[in-house]
Amino acid sequence: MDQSLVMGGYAVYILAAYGVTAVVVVGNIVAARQRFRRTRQRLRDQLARRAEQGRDSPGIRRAS
Amino acid sequence: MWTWFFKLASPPHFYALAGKLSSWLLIPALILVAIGTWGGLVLAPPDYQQGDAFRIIYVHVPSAYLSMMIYVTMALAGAIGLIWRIKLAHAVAASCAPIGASFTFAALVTGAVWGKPMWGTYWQWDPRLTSELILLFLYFGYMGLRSAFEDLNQADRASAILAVAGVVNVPIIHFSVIWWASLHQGPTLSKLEVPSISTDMLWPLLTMILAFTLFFLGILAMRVRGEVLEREYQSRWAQDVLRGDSAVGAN
Repeated sequence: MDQSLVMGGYAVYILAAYGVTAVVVVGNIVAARQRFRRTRQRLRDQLARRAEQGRDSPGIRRAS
Repeated sequence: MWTWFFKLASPPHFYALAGKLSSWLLIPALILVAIGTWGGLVLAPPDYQQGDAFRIIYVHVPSAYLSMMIYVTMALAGAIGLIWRIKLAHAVAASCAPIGASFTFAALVTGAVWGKPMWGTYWQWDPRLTSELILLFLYFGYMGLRSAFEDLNQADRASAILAVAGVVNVPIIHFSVIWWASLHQGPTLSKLEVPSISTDMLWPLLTMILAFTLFFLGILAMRVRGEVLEREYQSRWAQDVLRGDSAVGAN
């Protein structure tokens, strides 16, 4: 097989390292986008509920 | 003189700026990752001792550098939040943790798969590897501590103290290869002398380090927006953003 393809016999290790890094990079983008969208949606729902109930919630609380 | 600083620390201003910054930073970062990967995998010559296995350096070193740099950023932001009670600083610290943990994980895994062909083992309880593993646990501890509090202000303060206390591990990671006998190779780039790596191999590495730094800042901007919104949602501007009535949230 072409030496450049097998990378001197280290292809498995090199591709594993680059693969894990690619997963981390893509995972960071997906997780950050999803988290922002979920937070925004949760706060919108919370705001809508508050508007319906017509009362303010006390203090700064982590909404769950 | 400090007008720009106070403007930057203003949540609505930062929220709008972060929205623009995330795409301005992420697009060049991904282009640079592609260039650096091509340079590292194809253009750089094989190492005379390690052969092609050294190409793991192009993902391992930037990940390890980010793991430490992000922790220092998190600790600094936590300290600023504790001392000056700036909510935005706590938002930055909280946003750093998952990104830092993911790159610490990447540094450990890429190091392990580099270690197997070079050292004959995936893992050794070596000072550098062990201190990097402790860094991962510090990130987990930080995130665990934050989630243990229902009150955001309490979570911010407690986690900031942990972040500041844990920063002592960063110089230990960096100098571990100098202070103790280690399987891990010594510093390649951080020495004050000329880097001990040829230019052909160096430029893809510097490109990847720059790319990863921009990537971190882009993801950080994205995450901080959510944190700011969560902290500010009682305020008028945040409610306007959530209702979609504000230009601040256009991005």
